Amino acid sequence: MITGREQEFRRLYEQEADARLGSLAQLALELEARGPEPDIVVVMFRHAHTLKGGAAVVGLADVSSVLHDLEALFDGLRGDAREVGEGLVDGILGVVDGVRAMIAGAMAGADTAGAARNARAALARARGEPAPAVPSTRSPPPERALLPVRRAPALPAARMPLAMPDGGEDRVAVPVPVARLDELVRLVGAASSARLRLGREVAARLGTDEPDLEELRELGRLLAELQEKAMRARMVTLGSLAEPLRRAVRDLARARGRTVRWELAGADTPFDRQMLERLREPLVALLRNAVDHGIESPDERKAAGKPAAGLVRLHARQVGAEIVISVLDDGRGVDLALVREAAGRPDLDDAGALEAMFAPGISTARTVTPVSGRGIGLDAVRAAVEALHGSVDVDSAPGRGTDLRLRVPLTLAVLPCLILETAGRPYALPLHAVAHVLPAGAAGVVDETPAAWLDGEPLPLADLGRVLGAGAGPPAAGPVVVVRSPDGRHAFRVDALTGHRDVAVKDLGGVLPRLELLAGAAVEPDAGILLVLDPAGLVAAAARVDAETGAVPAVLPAFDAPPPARVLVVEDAPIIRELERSILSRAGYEVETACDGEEALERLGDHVPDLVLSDVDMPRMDGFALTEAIRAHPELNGVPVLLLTSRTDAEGRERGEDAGCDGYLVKERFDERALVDAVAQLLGGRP
Amino acid sequence: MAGQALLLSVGAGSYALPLERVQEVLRGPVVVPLPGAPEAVLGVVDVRGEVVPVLDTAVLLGGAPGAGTPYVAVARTAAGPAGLVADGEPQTAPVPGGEIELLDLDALVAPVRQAGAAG
Repeated sequence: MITGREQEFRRLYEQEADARLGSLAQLALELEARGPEPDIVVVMFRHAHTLKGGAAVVGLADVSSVLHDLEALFDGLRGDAREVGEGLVDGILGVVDGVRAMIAGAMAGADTAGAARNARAALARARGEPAPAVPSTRSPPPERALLPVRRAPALPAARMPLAMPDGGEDRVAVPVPVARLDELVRLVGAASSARLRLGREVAARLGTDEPDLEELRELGRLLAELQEKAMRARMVTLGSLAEPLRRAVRDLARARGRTVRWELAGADTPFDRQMLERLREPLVALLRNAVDHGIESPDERKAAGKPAAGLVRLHARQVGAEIVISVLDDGRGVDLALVREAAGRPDLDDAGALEAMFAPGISTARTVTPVSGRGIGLDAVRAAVEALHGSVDVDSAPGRGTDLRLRVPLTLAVLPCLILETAGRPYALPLHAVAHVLPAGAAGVVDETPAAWLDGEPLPLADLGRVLGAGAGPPAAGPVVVVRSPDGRHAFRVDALTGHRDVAVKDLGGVLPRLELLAGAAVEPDAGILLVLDPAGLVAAAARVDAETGAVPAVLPAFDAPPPARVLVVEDAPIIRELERSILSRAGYEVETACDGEEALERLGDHVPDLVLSDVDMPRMDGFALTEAIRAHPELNGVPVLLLTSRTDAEGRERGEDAGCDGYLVKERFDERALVDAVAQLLGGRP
Repeated sequence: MAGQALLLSVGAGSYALPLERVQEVLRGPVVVPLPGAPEAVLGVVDVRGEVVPVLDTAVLLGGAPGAGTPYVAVARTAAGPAGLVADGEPQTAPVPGGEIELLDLDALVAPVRQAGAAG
């Protein structure tokens, strides 16, 4: 009988074993790539040794016994490792898989005899003993030539360091159950909420808006720092997933007879643990896709003047509050003609065809998009990423390769959201699902069949309030928000857009069932509860409403109202750019847009606007540099510049002022009225 | 040893909650309705930074929907916190107390989750 305490130890062992077995597999692949470097073998030996001891302590005798033999194998390799054979690496990888399965089985209370047999068979293979043959692209190794015979004496156990390797044996690590870290993060969050309430209470007693108390600010800073540290503690790096991903690439490349060069950049990029777990399958699918459909055979590649080894590169980086993961290959690129054919849409342009790759039900037989054999298709990849409040896009050039990019928020807890009002209530809509924002005049009702017109495509349009079940009251007459979901796009008319900000999304609680229309709720410091809409559920519910009412997309009248003052909006995030455009258009301004400082300068060369509204953090040329360039320009230096940034610190503000900006809006406090007021003020009340 | 109970007046009846499971009582809180929620769910309230669902006690007890949310008792159930609506100000009383029914909190709120799964 296993006691709770033993189970707890086993769980800790399972966590540690997972990390060490991952390192072992990683090192086995290194062995294959770099040859038998003694340093590698020594570290492998230590992993096996430590794992063996741990298994014995938590009562996993079978596991301990397999690891004992693996340890002996490494010990022998240390003394005599002239060459590394394929069988050795495959065997080690097989043992790793087998031991993992044994531990998982033991944890689940299942029979582990099958897993143990597999581990033993793999061990035999690693030793060079007869084992089932696998397809190989290389010549078979000479019989037993690679079997290292035990010659060197075993390393004395006392000299084995106990700390984890991977870049620092001096770092002492304490395994902590994830649930305890979660609890810590929850408590810190509760403490932050308490501080906000304290601030409100103090403000109410003092009769001021914002209590100007150094102690309160200090407490806020400390809590913010504590929260960040606690979140970090719960985070893992992409590197923790490197081994299974690399394995997936290697195994498929061998099965398909491709030669692949693996690159991993940004291995230290931090991820929310749950997020990375849920990204694992989509990433494996994309990497397999790259090998299977991207990388050509070595002969094909040589004929095309490329190196025989195809590049598969996984690159993760943090960009603001998002993580961008790129899966890149230098293979043949996407066959757009095949996609058009599979989609039954010969009319699609290149961008449309790339988009169509993600549509569900694109033919699997032609193997354009889905991963052949096991695995999931691109539509499932997109669905999985969107479930994480992320997005997927793709670039491809024929003969040059494909670059698929996943964007996900840094954590699942904080989501950038569009704040809108409908049926008299505020709601938050996750920005990743907002495809477009159209001003009020851009959509209309034609013959009682509401639709919005976007990118030359009519979209069904519904009143958001009605979809949310607010039957009574006048229909919305404000702007239209186009929401993207795995099921397609749908337009919603709302009463007003009031801003965008990061929202700390909370679960609605375990008492309630899962509600289709809601992703959660946030407790706002000053506005009570803000409901966060679920984009996919919203689109699905709207489609049902459309089916009932028989709504059919139709062409819409264009809108025109040339306003007197012209504003150039410079912003790299498309959604925020559209939001700003929408707000300013509605206020009567003529709005032009640019994606960054350089593009803005080009626009400014064509004609001079009445005001420039610019983001600060942008690629190529940031807002500060743009402001300086405008101030240095003889014809432009009189144009007011309003900077909009997420930086709340005084330093950013000073830099903006030094650069010569006329006004400064902080994104966190940005809303429709603040923006319109600031613009109107700088333009002297126009329009 | 007899414990303490919180008496909720709901419709014509009076029902007792184990006092140790009750976190606090809210008077006339701001309840934000949830689109698409089952009938028994009136919405959510902000209980010092925590999002707590408010349930129509009358509906949970198999009756017709109650009127408004004059009082909400926030109780800890096995599935998480839940607010239970009472028509009048809840009173404490010793249990067992005569003919008053002691509610099984967990069983009372369990059908709410089921309602969503079925619908």
